[in-house]
Formats: sequence, C-alpha cells, structure tokens
Amino acid sequence: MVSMSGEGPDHTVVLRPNLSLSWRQAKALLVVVALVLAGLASGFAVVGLWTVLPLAGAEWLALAVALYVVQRRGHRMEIVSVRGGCVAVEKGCGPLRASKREFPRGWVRVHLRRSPVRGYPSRLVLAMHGEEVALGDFLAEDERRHAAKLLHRTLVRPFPDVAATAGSVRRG
Amino acid sequence: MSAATTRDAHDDAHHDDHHHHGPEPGVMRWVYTTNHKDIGTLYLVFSFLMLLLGGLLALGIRTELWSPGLQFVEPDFFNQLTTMHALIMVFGAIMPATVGFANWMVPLMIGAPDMALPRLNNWSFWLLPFAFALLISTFFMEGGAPAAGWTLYAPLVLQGGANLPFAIFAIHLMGIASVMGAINIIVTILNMRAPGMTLLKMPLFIWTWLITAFLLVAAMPVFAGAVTMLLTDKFFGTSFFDAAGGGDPVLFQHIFWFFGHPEVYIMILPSFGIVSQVIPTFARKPLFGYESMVYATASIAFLSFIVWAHHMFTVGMPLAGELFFMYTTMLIAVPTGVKVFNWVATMWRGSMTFETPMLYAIAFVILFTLGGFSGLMLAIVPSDFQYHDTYFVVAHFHYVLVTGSLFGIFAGVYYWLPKWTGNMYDERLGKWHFWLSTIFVNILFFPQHFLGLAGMPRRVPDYAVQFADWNMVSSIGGFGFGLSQLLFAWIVLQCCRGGKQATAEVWDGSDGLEWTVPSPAPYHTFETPPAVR
Repeated sequence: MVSMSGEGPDHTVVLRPNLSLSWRQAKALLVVVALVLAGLASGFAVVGLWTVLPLAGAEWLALAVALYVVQRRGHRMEIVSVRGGCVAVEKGCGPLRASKREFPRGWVRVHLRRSPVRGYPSRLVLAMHGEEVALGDFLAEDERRHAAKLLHRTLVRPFPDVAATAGSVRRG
Repeated sequence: MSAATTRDAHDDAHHDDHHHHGPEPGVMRWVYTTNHKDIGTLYLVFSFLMLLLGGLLALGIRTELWSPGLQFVEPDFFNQLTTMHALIMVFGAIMPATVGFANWMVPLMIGAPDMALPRLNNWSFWLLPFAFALLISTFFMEGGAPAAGWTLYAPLVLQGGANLPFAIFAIHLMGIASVMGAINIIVTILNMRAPGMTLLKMPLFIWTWLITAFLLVAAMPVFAGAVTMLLTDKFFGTSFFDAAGGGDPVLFQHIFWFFGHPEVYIMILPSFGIVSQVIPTFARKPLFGYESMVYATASIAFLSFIVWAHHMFTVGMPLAGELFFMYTTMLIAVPTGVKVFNWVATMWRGSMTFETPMLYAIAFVILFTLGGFSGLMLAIVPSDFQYHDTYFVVAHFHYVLVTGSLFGIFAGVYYWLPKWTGNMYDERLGKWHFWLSTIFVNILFFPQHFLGLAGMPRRVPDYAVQFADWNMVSSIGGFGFGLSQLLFAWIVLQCCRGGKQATAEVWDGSDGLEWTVPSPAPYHTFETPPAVR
C-alpha cells in the first residue's frame, strides 16, 4: 500500500506491504486453534493416548511462529520524508525503524527499472552519486509504479532554501 | 554533497542485491526453487509418478484377482500390495496433487505474489521424495513391506517384518510435509489476500483449501501420535494397544479413524473446490448459492470429526454409540446434498459447453454422488453389519476417491493447464481420455458393489468361484483405466511442449484473478494488478 501525506513542499510517502489479517485477528485465530487442539489432545490423553499432546503442541507452535513471521513481515514500513532540502528514508517494522538514510534533495533521483526478464518485478530505487536505496520490494507492480510517480512528483517540487537544508543534513 | 546519515547501509545494499535473480539454470532450479509455481509443478509431477506406481500395484492386485485361485503372488505379498497401494495413493498421489493445485493456484487466485513462506514450501515438498523412497524401500526388506492395510491396525501391524520403523518414519515425514504445507496455505490465504478480497469474496477453491488445511492441522497430530505409539509398543515396551500389558487394540481403531475420516475429506474437499470453479465457467453462470457452499464445506469439515466410529460398527460398540455415529454420518448427507444441488442449479439453464474439464466435473457430480449414496447405505448400522469388510466398501470408497477426488483433479488439470503452460491441450485427445477413463472406471468399480453384496470379503487374493465373472470384468476395467492414464501423460506432455497459444482468459466464461495474468502465468505474478470487485 502506498500513502502520501503533507502540505506545501514537505511530504511523507509511506510504503507498506498488503496484509489482509490484523495482528489481533491472528491472535484470535491462534487462541481458537489452541483450544481445539488442546481439547482433542487432552481427550486422547485422558484415555491414555498422551503422545498426541506434545505433537499437537508442536504443531500449534509451528503455526504460531509462521503467523508471527508473516505478520512481522507484513508490518514492514518504508517512509520517505521530504523536509525542505532533505530526503530521509526510514525502513523498519512498525514503530521500530531499523535503518535510516538521508540524502540531499537536490541530488536524489527516482528510478523505476524494468526487469530484463519478462514477468519479473520492476525495481524502484532512490539514487544519488552511485548510492542506491531500493524501495517497495514488497509492493505489487501497480503500487510500485504509483509509488514511483508519487516520489518523482514530490521530489521535483520546488523547495525553499537549499543552503539551510544542506546544514540540516550535515547535522543529521 | 554526500549522504549524511547511514545506519545499516550494508544491510540495505545486501537486501537490494538479491531481488531480481531468475530461476537457477538446469536441474538445480527444481532443488532450490522457492517459487510457488515451480513447487506446484513439482508436487503435480511427483503425484502423477506416485499415481502410476500406486496404479501398478493396483494392477498387480487385479491381475491376481482375474480368476479364483492363487496365480501370481503369495497371500502375504498380496497384502503388501493392498497396503502399499493405499498408502501411496492416499499420501503420495491424491494429497500431493491437491497441494500442487494449492501451490499453483492459491497465490494466483488471491492476488498474492507467492506463498507466504516460500522456503518452508520448498522444504515441505522435498521431504516427500525421501519419505516415499523410505516407504517403497520396505518392499526389499526382510519380511517385505507393511501388510496390515493402510489402517495399520494393531496388533496385526506389529507382527510384520523389519518394515515397521521405516514405514512409521516415512509416515512421520509425510505428516510433517503435510502440516507444513497446511500451515503455509493458512498463513498465505489469511494474510496475503489482495485488497478488497474479503473472506466471502474468495473463490470457492480457496475456501475449500483453507478448510482442508485446518482439517490437516487438527487431524495430523492424532495420526502422528497413533503411529508413534505403535513404534513404542513394538520397540520400547509400552502397551498402548497391547491387551496383555493392559492396553486396548480397539483404542487404536478409534484413534486411527479419528484421523482417517477427516483424511477422506482432506482428499475430497479440494476437488469440491476445483469443480466449483469449473462448473460456473462452462455453464457461464456464477456459482449458485456461494455462501451456502462455504457453510456446507465448513459443516462437512466439522462433522468429519464426529463420525469416525462408523468405520468400526462391528467392533462391538454400545448401542447408543452406534446410533450416535449412524445419525451423525447420515447428517453429512445434508451439506453434501446442498453442494450437489448448488452444482446442478449452477448448470440449470446455463449456456453450457462440454470441454474436457466440464465433462470431468459433470462426471464428478454424478459419480461422487453415487459414492455418497453407497456411503449412506454403509452408515446404516444393520446394513453395515452385512457390508462390513466386503467389496461393497471397496467400491464405495473408490467411487469417492477415484471418481470423486481424482476426477476433480483431472478436471482441474485440464482447466488450468493452459494457464500453466501457455498452450491449449489437444481437446480431442482430452475427450478420449475422459470417455476411456469414465467407461473403464465404472467397469472397474461398479461390479465390486455386486461382489460385496454377494459377500466377497476384501483383502483376499483368492475367492469362491461364484465371484469369478465380476472379478474378471473388474480386472478388465482396471487395466483399461490404468492404460488410459498413459494417454493423460501424453496429453500433458504434448501441451507442455507446444500447441495452440492460450489467451490470458483461456475460457470465455472464466472469472477470477488467475485469468487476469497472461498465459503462461509469469514466473513472478501480477505484472498487471489484481482488481477485486
């Protein structure tokens, strides 16, 4: 999903993968599956067939880990903030930002590169002086195109004071 | 000017680097692949090989039963054939085939780029060849392969040769593969649906697979626990199922069928889903009663957990137990009837055409219903006392699993093959395959009803001469049906190698996200965006 907020020259573009299950729903699902499996396995344990119990537990754990991994991956976020002359790219999961890079706005270019192999996803990058940051690997193709357009439009807008921005970049 | 702040830049660079590699060249593509289409293809090819192997064992059975007396195999080897035929067909042919469909079609139908856990997907598949190599290797061990039937009833199974630990380890591996596959499917369907695709907008194939995956999650630990207890009874001195040590052999039957009956639905529900996709396409009408289909599928899944003892009416249960399991079993006819009614109502006044997938779907509806009816007969306790352990039961479950599950799978292969390969299959040969399969499968299994009603027991290599004629007819059907599948292999091979170019839509009545991508579906899907209305 691609969303943009902000007014005037300052904008924030947020990229997130599509996730059709909320964490709350995932937890509810795990509780229901746990109850069902615990019910079945306990029933068998009561009549003496206790080996079902640890196997059911292991299976539930595997489901929980799988859901957690996918949910965590689904909560990844990439935020491109344009503030004055500075472009900041933050990547991370939920409120936790694992990495942050900043570029001077005037030098940043947005590239959407088509794959040389037909049917492969395109690649969206912010580039400056040989350095690149890939964005939106998790997006669908149309979303990536949309993100590229939004970023391009945002970055080519006129910004007020280049000198002031350069100073703020050095401080970062 | 330079970039001022860089944290974790190395990570980023690394991450950016591994984005656009194509498939590995050569054979290693299939070993390393995490692509859902590759893994789907692996599952389908593997299941077809297992179908041929299981079919070969079945032909061994039918050859021996061609005429009364012992001609070709010893009774013990005959028992090995029946046991291994069932294990291979259930765990090696039907289940992996439906998982193959799930791998290919779930991401395409929900608008996801791949399965949620692609590496787990690779692992799920690659456990199977090892599991089956292990299982098949038992044929060459002292005492041969397991011979106690696929039900592995204790204490009979414990009296076999050296095969038991190998067979049980193989079953554990198959179980792990199934559970991992099921977890992957659950997580994919729930988390990765395209925006706008709410649960009640999902195609019915997705619904049936979601419910199947939950059935697997609930049933597999029970089976794994059961076979583990067999192992400890044999090698570690426990007495779970040994009456001499205070255990109860009947308890094994209960625990086995608690898994075994849902297992039947694990095999049939995905075919329900396939048929529910095929019929609306060729009737050119939306599926009649979509929501009732979803609820009916869920009801069948729930009921499948409270009917298990109908497989063991003759074991000596209390009357209340027999009545309970008789009524719950008969209750399954209600949601199943809803489904059959909806399929027929979808066809009603539709602009129907009869391409091969539709022919298989119609045959599925008719012949599966026939298998359902004989199931109802078996559900009635006093009748079951008559039919139990006879060929009537064999006829019943083969109508459900061959003309049900397998015909559904055939319908699905012909339906989606142009999407997978980009080429149309040879329609004329497809129809030949259909008619040959349908005629021979009925010659194979229908006479087994007569044999069973006349009292011929199952799992015997020899029989009274009164059963000779129908056994010969059945064997002729078996060979005809088996040979017809070589034609199927040829049609699929021919389609993979070339043919008329398929359009993206393929069928003019097709509807769904999978038909919005080009044919063949690109290695990475959704070059054009999914739109869910």
